[in-house]
Amino acid sequence: MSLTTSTGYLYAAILLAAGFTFVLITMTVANLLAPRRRTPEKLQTYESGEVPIGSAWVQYPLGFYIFALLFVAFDVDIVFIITWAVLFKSLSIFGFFEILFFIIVLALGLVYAWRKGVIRWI
Amino acid sequence: MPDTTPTWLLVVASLVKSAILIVILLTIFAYMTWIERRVVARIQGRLGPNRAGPFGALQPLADAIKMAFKEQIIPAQAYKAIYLIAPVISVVVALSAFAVVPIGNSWTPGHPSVWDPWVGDINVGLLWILSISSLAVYGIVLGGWSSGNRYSLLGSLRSAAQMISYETSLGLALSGTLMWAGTLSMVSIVRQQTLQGQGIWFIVAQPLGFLIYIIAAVAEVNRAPFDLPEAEQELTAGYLTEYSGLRWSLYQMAEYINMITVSSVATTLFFGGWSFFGLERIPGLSIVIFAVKVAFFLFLFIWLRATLPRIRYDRLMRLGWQFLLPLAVLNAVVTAACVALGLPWWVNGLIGLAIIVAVLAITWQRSRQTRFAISKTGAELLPPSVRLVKSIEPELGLVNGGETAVAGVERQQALLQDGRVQV
Repeated sequence: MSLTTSTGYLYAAILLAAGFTFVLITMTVANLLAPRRRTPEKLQTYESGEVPIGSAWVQYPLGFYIFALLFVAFDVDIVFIITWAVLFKSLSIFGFFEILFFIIVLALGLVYAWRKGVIRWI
Repeated sequence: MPDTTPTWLLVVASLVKSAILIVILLTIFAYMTWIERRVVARIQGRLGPNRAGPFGALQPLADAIKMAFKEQIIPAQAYKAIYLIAPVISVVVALSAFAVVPIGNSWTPGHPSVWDPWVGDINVGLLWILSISSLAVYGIVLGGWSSGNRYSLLGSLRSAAQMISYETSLGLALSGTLMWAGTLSMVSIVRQQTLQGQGIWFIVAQPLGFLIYIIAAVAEVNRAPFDLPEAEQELTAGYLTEYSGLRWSLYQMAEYINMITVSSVATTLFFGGWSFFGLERIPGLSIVIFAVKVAFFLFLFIWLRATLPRIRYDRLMRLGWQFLLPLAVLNAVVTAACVALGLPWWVNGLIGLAIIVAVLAITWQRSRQTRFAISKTGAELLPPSVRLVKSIEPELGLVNGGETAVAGVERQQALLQDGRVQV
């Protein structure tokens, strides 16, 4: 087997498996060592000493959702830019104007979100 | 690598290397906690842990034993399955991101072998790190959500929003370096920087990119001054609130390993990885060089924590989206132009430095403008860094003359009685 793309992934997969094994071993050891004495008070949700009222899954601000949407848009763009950056030297000027157009569109998106006031917290 | 290398040898070699890597990472994690406590104590004029062993050097061991013997409480309200799995996701993800980081030169340069000091040299290595470390968000969000605690839920949401906000700037900042390197493989990126005659550490071509990267990286690993998820005063311990015993230390482990990973990426992409002006050709020394460089960044993390106060959440998001991201876009465009026009590296470096100086100058200029604010106790001088809550800023404005200030006071008092504004 030669050093191809797939063998690189094989190594990484092996490290993934090794990491998983390590965590499993430590968890098993800790489960064997740690005491287990449960009382209702101990299992209560921590809320600074108060008895919690209702479910903990409360409504949270919509802002988080908008940021997540923005992130998805920008992160996909970054995957494009990174793969383009690797081949950039062979694309030269043509590649430069291609990506300039792309980045301008991207920047317009940011400006739009900015003007709409959604990237401002509160 | 010779094609004749049998598959079993490859698998055995990478298993052994994985095991060694995990042991190394865990040792660094354990000692980082001790060094961090000692250094922060030193900076703050305290002693820090100094009882267990010489200089307290056995403290990590004592902590590890304590953690293993602690009860792991699963709160009654928790969503049990996810609650148990979430810390595992965090740690496994943090460990596997490190797979592609080359911690030293090949043992015999020019002759790759299965025992070279990296687990796997994937040709999209950097993309691997970026994508794997994005998965870290799952560990945090799922852990916080499944705890069944409001502090945990809000802490994990904050943490996730922060991580995804800074990830965009982080990726864009790295794209400038990639344009110079022309490869995503971590080993080849270091080789590019050690080329005879034309190799340069990419920091000199990308000072702005490096600055953006390092700021974004601190936010990405949730460290001070961006440690909002763990803001004790507001959220107890954020997503960690309901975790105890070993699972709590798994989260800590993930945080520190992520710190090591971002430091290693900074070293590899901007500071020549294992290279140091030819010294790396001595076998074994390259690993020491790499370790010293990474240690510098780790110390920087500790130093930042001891020096800077925590940033407010709305300003954190503002910094990410309205400051770092536009700067990163600018950096990408400038670098692309330099590379496309075939300009030498120092032109790019000078432009980057000029932008940094300009930004610093504007910031300094703006910090000198003084502003007045009117509160219940009368007019007062605001520290320049204070930004008022959005709703009252138009009414308040910048008050200069005495008359306007009085008018401002009346308007402000009217607003206060309305109950619309808290000062």
